[in-house]
Amino acid sequence: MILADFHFSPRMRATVIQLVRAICPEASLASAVADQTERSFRSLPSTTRAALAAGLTTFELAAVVRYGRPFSRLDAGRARAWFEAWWHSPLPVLHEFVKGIRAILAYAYYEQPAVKRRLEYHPDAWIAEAARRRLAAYGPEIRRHERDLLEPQALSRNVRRA
Amino acid sequence: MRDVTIDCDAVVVGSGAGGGVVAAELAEAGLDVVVLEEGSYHPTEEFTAIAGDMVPRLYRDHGASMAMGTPVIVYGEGRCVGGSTVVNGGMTWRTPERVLDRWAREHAVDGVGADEMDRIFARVEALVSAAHQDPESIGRDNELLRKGAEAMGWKVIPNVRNQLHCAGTNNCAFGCPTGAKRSTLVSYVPRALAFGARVYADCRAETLVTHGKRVVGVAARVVRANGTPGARVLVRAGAVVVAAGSIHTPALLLRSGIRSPSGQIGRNLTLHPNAKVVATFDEDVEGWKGVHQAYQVREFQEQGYLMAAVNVPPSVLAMGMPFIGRALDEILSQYNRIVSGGILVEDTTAGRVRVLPGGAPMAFYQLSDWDAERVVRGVALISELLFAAGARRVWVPFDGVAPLDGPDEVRRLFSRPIPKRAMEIMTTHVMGTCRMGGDRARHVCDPWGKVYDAEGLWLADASLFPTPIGVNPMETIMALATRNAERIIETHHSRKAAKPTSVGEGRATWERGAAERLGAPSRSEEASRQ
Repeated sequence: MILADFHFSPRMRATVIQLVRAICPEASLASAVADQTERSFRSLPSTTRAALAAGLTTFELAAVVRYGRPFSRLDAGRARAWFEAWWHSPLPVLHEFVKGIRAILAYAYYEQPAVKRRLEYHPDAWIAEAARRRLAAYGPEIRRHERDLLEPQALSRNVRRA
Repeated sequence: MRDVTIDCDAVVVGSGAGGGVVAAELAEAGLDVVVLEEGSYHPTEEFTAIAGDMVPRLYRDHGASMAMGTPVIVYGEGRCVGGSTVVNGGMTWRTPERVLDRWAREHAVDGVGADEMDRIFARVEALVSAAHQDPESIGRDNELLRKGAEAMGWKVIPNVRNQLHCAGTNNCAFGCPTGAKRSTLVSYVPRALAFGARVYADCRAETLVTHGKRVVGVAARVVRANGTPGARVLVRAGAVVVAAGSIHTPALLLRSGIRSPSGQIGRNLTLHPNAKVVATFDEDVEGWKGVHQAYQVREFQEQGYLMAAVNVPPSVLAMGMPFIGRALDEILSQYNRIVSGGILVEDTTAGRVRVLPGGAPMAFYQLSDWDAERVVRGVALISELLFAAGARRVWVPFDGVAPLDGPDEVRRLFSRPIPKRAMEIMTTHVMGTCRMGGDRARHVCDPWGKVYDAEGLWLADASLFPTPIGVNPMETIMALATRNAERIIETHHSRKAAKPTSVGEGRATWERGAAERLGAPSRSEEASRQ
């Protein structure tokens, strides 16, 4: 089940893209990572999504107090410093927020096909090969098990059929 | 789609290790069974290694449900036909005898002696094809784990898994793409269907329907593709079995106004806190080629620790590591030379599930100081093991702690206290919250899962556990579900034999009550419309 009706507002998307630039290794993938992050948000429960959205807004605007401009308009060094200020904050709510966002962004970044290729992680071919080997070696036994699975095998001698 | 009303002998909420098993057993015994599953139906052919596609489909909350506390503990729960059995690692371990003894001794759980349970475990194991791995399916990461354990002189054993010639695709957490892992999706659910059960996917149980102290049905809503509620579904049944997992089962009971004389609904939540370490080796490991967990290190089981090699895709690995940017990428760029080691701790404290305004559950769990120390000790132990296997460097799941560059550095973990908030902890074993036992003043359910003081209501999932069990819980859940099903069948037949006409009369009464409560048309109203 995937919620289809959630999209980042332009401001929230700008915040997410700036976060990707600040904490992911490749800024060039920022837009694609933001897209994946948006998909992740869609399958979060509404309360979590609302809390994260409120956190992103606060994270964006509170930077004005320290730097005179919102997070999405900071240079790379200040953006990173702002993230780390929250990461090391003694206030649990700030720390837990950026910890959660970090996890979602890291997930989104390493889900990118280009990153998987760089890491030489290509499981599809392995799965196809392993599945083919399994059927070749054990096909008849597997089919027999599938058949037997649907045969009656009453739970208890004391139990009678209705 | 219009609202619907369904009559049956038994309605089962959930289709995982508990619900799928109960449904099949009841259906085989001849009961008319309806299963309500909140998640969608995804057949084996849909499963791929693309986590970004599979996680939203197969997991609740994108696999990132949270137990609030310090640290926040992320837990993963399956939400699909087959439930968490579709996304778990497939470990199929009997409940340790010391645990069953404790349940009998401290919680008056009758009928869990070795002889009585042996029959039940054997039945489950046959139906899910529990076995050791074929040698060709075991990957290098697991061989390194075994090598490390043997070098340390520690007990290491091959896992028993619910698999039929597992191909070693290491995709357990995103649905087995070959069907070799015998989740309930491909075992008990097809069996239930073969014996006449009806399974409704995308159908979320909202409340139990009660009439006095009797639970007489389930009020559910169809879940539309965009997640919004659709048509109402009222299922009326002589037996209601809830198997929605340890978070959602107590929530459903509490939302429905079920009160236990024990006051224990939602309490006694245990989690088996898990921590992961990441070790790099000089050789190619390619942990994604081979089964998810072929071995378990059992040297410290009596002290409440299990260890295993737990390869996950880069994206999932990155989520759980307390690093960012280049520091994170420095680790992940060595992905094919990594062994991920997992440590599971049998917890000694308990949390609680509460229902928020609006009806959603929220878990609260505070890791105790003692268990936090044990997490550190467990991480130290598995780090030693990985160095003994040849690891060059080990990253630990504690923010602010530098990686370990050799076994001599492991003692650095104990040089100063590691704050709980710096720990990355997750779990997939959520237990307790509606514990069973022989005392209605201390337990929510009797030893066969029947809820005290709620006629017709049974539970069949890990919420029944009176204590954590220290091993992977799937087979225990399946065994308890089998056992409870046996009692439900006996109760069903004895009710039919004693009062052959009472069911219909009762239905006429509670049908009106349920319809009023739901604002849904009763069966007679429906008939008159047609």
